[in-house]
Amino acid sequence: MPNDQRPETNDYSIIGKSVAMIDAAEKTTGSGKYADDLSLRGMSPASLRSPKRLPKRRSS
Amino acid sequence: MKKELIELRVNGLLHELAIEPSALLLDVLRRDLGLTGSKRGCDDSSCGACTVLVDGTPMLACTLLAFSCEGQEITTVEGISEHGSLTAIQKAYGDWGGAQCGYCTPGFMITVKHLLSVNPDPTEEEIRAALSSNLCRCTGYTQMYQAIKAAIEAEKKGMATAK
Repeated sequence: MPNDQRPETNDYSIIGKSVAMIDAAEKTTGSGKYADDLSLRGMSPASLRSPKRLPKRRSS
Repeated sequence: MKKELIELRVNGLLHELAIEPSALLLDVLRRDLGLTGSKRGCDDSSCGACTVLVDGTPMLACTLLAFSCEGQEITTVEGISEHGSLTAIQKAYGDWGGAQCGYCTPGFMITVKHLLSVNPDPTEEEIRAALSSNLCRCTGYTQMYQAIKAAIEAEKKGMATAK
């Protein structure tokens, strides 16, 4: 859309404004926790085991 | 495997740890020291999410034995903030949307910190070359280049004001 046809954004509270990312600091300092970063009391490690051979598949 | 004692200097603090000689630096940082900022991305030294500084050189902690770092200064993302406040690059990443999901960001922070320490005023090409050691699966590279350039400008202005 050409600039002169854009609606005035002054009336809006968010559109047209630069909004701060609320979690940026956690991401850039490494303090944010992802699933792999969590450690809970009594937590056990688990892993998936797949069969060495897969059953024959019938083509139907 | 029998554990052995090691002294590791991380972010300026000396830690005495009992670890297996085969322990990887990334596991020691994350598991033994609780420094989970360094991420395990690919686990085969392709992605750079685990990048830390060892005596000022960016290294991939996922394929580095912790024992090989004894006596060296290790810096993780937790150690790059200055006096508890965000560095120019950390602030610029927030302002320019340089971090999307954020999982690769700690590795990028280390890479950029190293780039700016050896080359305070890099060209666009030099920034791109430096960042080629890290992968971002959100593919937000353009915002990162903008953030880095903004941080360099901010540093220059800051230095000008200080004079």
